[in-house]
Amino acid sequence: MKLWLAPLLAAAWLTPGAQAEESPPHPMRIVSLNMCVDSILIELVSHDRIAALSHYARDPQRSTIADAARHLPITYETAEEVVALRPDLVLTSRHSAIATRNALKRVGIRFELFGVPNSIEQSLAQVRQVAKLLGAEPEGEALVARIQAALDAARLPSNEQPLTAAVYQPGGLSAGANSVVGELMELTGLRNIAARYGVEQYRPLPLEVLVSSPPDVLLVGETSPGAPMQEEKIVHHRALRALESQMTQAVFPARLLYCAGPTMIPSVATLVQAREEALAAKRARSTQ
Amino acid sequence: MTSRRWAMPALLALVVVLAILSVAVGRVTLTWDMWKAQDPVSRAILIELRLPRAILGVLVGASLGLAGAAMQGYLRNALAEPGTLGVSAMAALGAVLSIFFNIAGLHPWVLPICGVIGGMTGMAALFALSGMTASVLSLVLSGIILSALAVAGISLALSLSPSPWAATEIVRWMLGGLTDRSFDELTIATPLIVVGCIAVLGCRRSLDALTLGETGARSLGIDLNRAQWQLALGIGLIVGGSTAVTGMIGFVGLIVPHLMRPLVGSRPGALLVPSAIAGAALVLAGDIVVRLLPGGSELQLGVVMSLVGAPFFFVLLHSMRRKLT
Repeated sequence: MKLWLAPLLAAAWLTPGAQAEESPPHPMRIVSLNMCVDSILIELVSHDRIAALSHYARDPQRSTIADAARHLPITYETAEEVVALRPDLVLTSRHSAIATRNALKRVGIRFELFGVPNSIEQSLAQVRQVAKLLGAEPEGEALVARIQAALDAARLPSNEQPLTAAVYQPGGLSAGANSVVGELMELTGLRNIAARYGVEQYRPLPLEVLVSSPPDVLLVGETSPGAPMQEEKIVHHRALRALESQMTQAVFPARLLYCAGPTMIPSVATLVQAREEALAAKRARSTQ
Repeated sequence: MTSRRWAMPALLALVVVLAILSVAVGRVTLTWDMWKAQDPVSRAILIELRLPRAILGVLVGASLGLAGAAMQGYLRNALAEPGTLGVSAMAALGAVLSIFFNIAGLHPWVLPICGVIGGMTGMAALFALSGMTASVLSLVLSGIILSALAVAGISLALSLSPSPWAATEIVRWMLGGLTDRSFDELTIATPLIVVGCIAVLGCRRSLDALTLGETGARSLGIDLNRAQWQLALGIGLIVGGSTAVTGMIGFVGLIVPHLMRPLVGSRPGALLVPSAIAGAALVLAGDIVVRLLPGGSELQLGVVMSLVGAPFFFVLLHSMRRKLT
């Protein structure tokens, strides 16, 4: 099957420009199929080089670049849409649909896979990797420097005591050890109790654990106003409300949880704000 | 018994129309000019993406319909379906494990081959569990045990998955679909499915004889033991091959024989080929609906099949009940 198609396709793909074989240093039609790569891509290249972002990029609940993405084309992750865009580089996740990746491979479209970074270091390496593929190394270095500056500014001042904290999102989802958000929490002076109770990456934190040792700060998700889902109810569980006097709840929107990269900048800002509020509340309690 | 002669030509014509539609529609709208033009992009979309999808739809739909009709005929039970023998769940387990152990991305063939290996292991286990001179009951019970075991294995893989993203990847594959399948998958599945179909079709006479009961069939000179294994092997090949490339697509094998009975009568042997044709039409139609539904990402075919299949089955059951009373 493959044999009779190969010459046909080779002929077809070589006609528009022979550069398809040796990867062009400056891809001009870039398609991203992954939300986290979207957020890096949009920072690094001029938007006319972006042939399409993923459809998640427009979802304000999940994406930090929803406003910018509204003016850019998107795909729904089918090979058909990607092929029709004639991209010279496709950036996708290691966990994307296997059939779609195989289809792209067969048609001869170059794609690169990206994993989910488990640490700040891995995430910064990923930013550099994307920048290299795009031929945008200076922009990549600038972005890394910006992220690093934001991280440095967010560190806990040496005269302050660290607080305990946990992420508690709808469904009880938490960020534990080996997660970027967990590492960001430690960096901003919020000791992550979820990691101490054996939560790895992004998994549920048992409510009983949370109630038995309430953290100073509980980073709850943004509950969408109007229709509370069943899963969101757990965030407003009666057991948690009973602890309100002991811990400060701060809003940590779920969209900051999904991606690292440039998203770390608003993430640490939110964490710092939560820390400052909790410290103020603690001081107010102790003076009472 | 062939009460309505127009039924088969009409169904065949429907399959042809649906197959053409399946190549014609999709997320990207291709105009007639683009079809004619020697444009590499539209050619890639048509030949590399839509054509294998349409062929796979016909193949999988037809074989599942056939397997369903054979199962219902053999077990003389209207609730039997190809998945009853547990082979499809085992094939799904094999494919899921290849995703779980992160080897599915190595080469396009890895996932379907793991699925096939899972299906074949399931078949071997089925034969070992039920013994060589198995009764219908022990065969079905072995199938249920295998299904339960495979589903448990899949759930285990899901709950142990290294990250939520890996779990989503497994779920997305499990739901079943034809999206972006290519000639690679077709090459793997076709031989298995074709051999399976031939084996099942070879049992036509035995299935007819079985309507007289097991003793009746024996007195007609049917080797029931041989027929049973030939059927189990054929259905295992069909279900294993199709599940390995498309994931679990339910309801086709269950519903299609019921649809065909009013048209061609209920003689099991005569039901096989019409069920195959109708199965192909059903899967093609479902796959077209999946692509035409407005907005958002494509739904998974398996989901649509169940969404359409369950209420439809209810209506069918309702009318059957009225007829019986």
